[in-house]
Amino acid sequence: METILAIKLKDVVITLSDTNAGRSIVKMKDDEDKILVLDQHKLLLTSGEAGDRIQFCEYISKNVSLYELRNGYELTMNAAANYIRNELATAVRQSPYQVNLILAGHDSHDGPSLYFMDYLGSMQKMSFTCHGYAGYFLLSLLDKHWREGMSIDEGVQLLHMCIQELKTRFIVNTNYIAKAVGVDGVRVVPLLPAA
Amino acid sequence: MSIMEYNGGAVLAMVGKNCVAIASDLRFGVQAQTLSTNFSKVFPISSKCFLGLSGLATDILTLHQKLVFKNNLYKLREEREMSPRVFANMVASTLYEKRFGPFFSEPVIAGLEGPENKPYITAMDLLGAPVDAHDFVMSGTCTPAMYGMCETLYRPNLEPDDLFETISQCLLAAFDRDAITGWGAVVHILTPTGVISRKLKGRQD
Repeated sequence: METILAIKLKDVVITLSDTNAGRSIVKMKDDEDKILVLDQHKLLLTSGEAGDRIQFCEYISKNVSLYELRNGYELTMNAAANYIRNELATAVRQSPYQVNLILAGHDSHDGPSLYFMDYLGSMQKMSFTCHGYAGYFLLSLLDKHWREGMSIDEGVQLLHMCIQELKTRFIVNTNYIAKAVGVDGVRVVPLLPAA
Repeated sequence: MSIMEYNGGAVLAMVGKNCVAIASDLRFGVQAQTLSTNFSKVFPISSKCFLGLSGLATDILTLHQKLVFKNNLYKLREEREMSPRVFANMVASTLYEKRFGPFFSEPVIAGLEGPENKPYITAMDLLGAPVDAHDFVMSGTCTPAMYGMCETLYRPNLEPDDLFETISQCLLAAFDRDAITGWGAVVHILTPTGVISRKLKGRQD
């Protein structure tokens, strides 16, 4: 199960994902970018079943673009989150998408925000969250160290703390990629190289 | 592992003197892992009617959306608010429509009925079988504990402040006996003059 996590800071949401792509015991690729840029102010992090992840992400991504083309402006974060949730909830009783997601983004209405969603269609707006095994190690660490209104530097420091924890205690050793989304858009956050 | 115990949670409603109270816990989790401590399971439908939903989180959200949608259509067509009794009937029908593939959620409705603002509470199972009570109703994963507390502490004709105290003590004690409910609570007191909402802290475990 992939590691994905997102943390809300003062002006941006910072996100982290592992870069492992593998099947069973084989690591096929170790520089896979799993943080999908949904539009200029939204990131979609997904973990779960291989095919479902890509198919669902592309479906959502194209529909979000279509909205922007038709209406001339982007969906708000709340609208996008509810749209994705409704797609998951409709599918769950027929052919469930086995995808767990985090939607992270920025809009003028709520500022930086992030939404946790699971494959059943549960949704919660949160200040920080993780999916997968990472949660067992990192949720308590984030409970302790997260504060309202952290700066980007403090956020990156917190990310490094999370990576360090995983490197120490999590059995799977991988590289990580981090992206931040704020009012100015999406950018890749440089992480310190592995110690 | 029962599907009704996948996310955990509880809702409780109580009748007072010309007022009703409805409350829920704030935990959102997946089995043993708690993910959020800010998930209220009580939703306002109108100033005189509140809906509480326990059970599977995705169905709580879906049902809430469906019922608010139906309520809004009613308001547009009828140009008046739906009374709590009528709303409860609509909830029951909505649930029974899915008799052979139900929503895994058990609602609790609390409101003030009619121009005299007579307190009204009801709860139903996931198929929409309603039970009207004159004292208290609940649903969720710690109902046995809540029944015990309510039976002991409840008295009829409590004033809003006393009702708040009573319902709060019932909830907090009951939540402490269930691992997958708790992490705070939200209590809404509906009176003819308005709604008073308060958050409780309680044991954060």
